[in-house]
Amino acid sequence: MIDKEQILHYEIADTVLVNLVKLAAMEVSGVVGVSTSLRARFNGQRARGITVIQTDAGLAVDIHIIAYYGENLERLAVQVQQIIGNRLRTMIEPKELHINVTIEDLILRPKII
Amino acid sequence: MNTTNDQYAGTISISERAIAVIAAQAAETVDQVVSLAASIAEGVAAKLGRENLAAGVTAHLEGHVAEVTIRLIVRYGYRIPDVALQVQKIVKDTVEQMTGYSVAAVHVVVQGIDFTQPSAAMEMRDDHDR
Repeated sequence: MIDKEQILHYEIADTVLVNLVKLAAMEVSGVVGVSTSLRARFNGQRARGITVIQTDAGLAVDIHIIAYYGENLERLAVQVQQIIGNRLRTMIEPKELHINVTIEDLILRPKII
Repeated sequence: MNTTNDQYAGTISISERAIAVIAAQAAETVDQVVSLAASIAEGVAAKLGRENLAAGVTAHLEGHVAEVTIRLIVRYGYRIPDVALQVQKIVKDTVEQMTGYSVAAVHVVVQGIDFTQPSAAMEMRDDHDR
C-alpha cells in the first residue's frame, strides 16, 4: 500500500506525449495530418510537427497541422487546442498547460465520384 | 491570437501558406478569371507532379493582418478593373471568414488575357460586326 505522504516519482517520455497529442488532434474532423514547414525543418525543429517541452512547472505543446480547405480555421484550431487540452488534462494532469496550434498548410478534400 | 479559453493558455496561428491557399481557391471561383498565373518555379514544380494549391499567390502576414498578392489571367471581353475588384472582394471576404484574420490589402496583378474563351457578350458583338 502506498503511503500518501510518500512522493511518487515518475516520468513520461516525450514520445508518449507526442503520440497522445497526435492521436487527439487527428480526432478533429478537418485535420488531415501533422507537419512542419520546410523552413522549420531547416531551423532544426523535429520533422514530426509536434514539439513537447516538459518542465517542473508544466507542459508546453507546439503542434503544426495540415487541414482540409473549407473549414473555418479559427474554429478548427480552437477545437484542436481543446481536445488536446482535455486529453492531456485527464491523462497527465500538468500544473500548467500551454498549447500552441499552427495551421501550416491546406489541401483540398478528395472529390467523391 | 490568444484564446479566450481560460483552461489552458496557448496561441493559435495560421501560416502564410495556408492563407495563400485560401486566397487562391477563392480567386479561382470568379468566372472571369481563367487561371492564376504560376511563377516559372511553380510551373516547373507542377510539371514534376507537385500540385501547388497556392500557385500564383503570395501572402504576407504581420501579426494577424494579412497582405495578399494574386497574379492571374483574365478572360477576354471583361472590364479588367471590375474583375480585379471582384477578386479583391471575394478574397478578402473568404480569408477573413475562414481564418478570423483581417486582410489589409489584396494586390491583383493581371498577367495575361485569355482570348480562347471570350465572354458571350463579346462573341455577340463580333457576330454583329461581321
